[in-house]
Amino acid sequence: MLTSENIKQVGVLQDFGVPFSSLYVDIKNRLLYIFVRMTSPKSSIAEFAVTGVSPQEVEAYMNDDIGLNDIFNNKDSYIVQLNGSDTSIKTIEYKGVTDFNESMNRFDSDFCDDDIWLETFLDRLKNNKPLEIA
Amino acid sequence: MAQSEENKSFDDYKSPKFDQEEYVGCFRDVIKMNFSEVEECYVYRTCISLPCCKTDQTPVILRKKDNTIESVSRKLSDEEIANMTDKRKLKTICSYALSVNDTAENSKVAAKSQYDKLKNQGKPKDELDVYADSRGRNIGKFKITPEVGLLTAFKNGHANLLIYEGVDIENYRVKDFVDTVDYENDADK
Repeated sequence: MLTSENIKQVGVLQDFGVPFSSLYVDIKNRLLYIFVRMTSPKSSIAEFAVTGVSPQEVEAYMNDDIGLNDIFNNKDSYIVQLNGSDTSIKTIEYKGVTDFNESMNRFDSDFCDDDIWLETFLDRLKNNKPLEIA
Repeated sequence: MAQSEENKSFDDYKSPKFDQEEYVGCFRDVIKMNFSEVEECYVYRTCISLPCCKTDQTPVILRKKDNTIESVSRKLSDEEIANMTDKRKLKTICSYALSVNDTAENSKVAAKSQYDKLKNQGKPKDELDVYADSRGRNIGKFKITPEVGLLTAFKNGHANLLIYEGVDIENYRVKDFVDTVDYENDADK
């Protein structure tokens, strides 16, 4: 079960004016989660599809070797709410995620400003280096 | 230089202290290679301004702050920086800088090219509007002088401006310059 206590944001994988797909980490257990926005950017409540990922899957996504559908396929996933005034992550439903269409499915480096930082973070994770909070 | 009283949010976010060892001393080699003192010139950009968080090595772009979940520290170690190629060092240090264009037209082209890409991917209108708002609809013109900072060479009409600590770019805005990016009508041209 995903809880908000140890979940920290790592960076934004795809940004279309607002973050679309982002990487989060359970800082205590060193587990990665990918958050994908499922609601309109203008919606007051942001709902995200969430699933666990390995560093290798994130790297493959960033290399455009796999898409979000490959990541979410056959895994437990959650829908969570992030409310701007509330730091908690609230799991509101458990269900499979519907297919992302092709333009959303694949990674496009033109819409990622955090790529070097994300790669650095994945390197830290894989090499068992400390993960500190900002 | 005095901060603009009109721009209160600038008090919270400062330009990178790139002249101080604790901040970017380890990037000094790529700064020397790629940035040079500004000769007086005019530059243009859409979204303005405030690219950096004052508390960490890596900037936090304001438009990305859509929630208040804590983040992992992005402070890079000397070893991590030393192991980067010059190209990656340059990309990292350029993320401290303001992205600028040499003409208003090139600023429009840069803004619209990614908008068009999203449009061609079939993104809905409300998402395109969010992107345009984030990227900026108004073009600013700024008179840059040597006390403002360092500038990379323009390449394809684009350069990065690394501004000195305490400099408020708003003080260099050409007040009577008005131009806008017409994303919808000019898109796909």
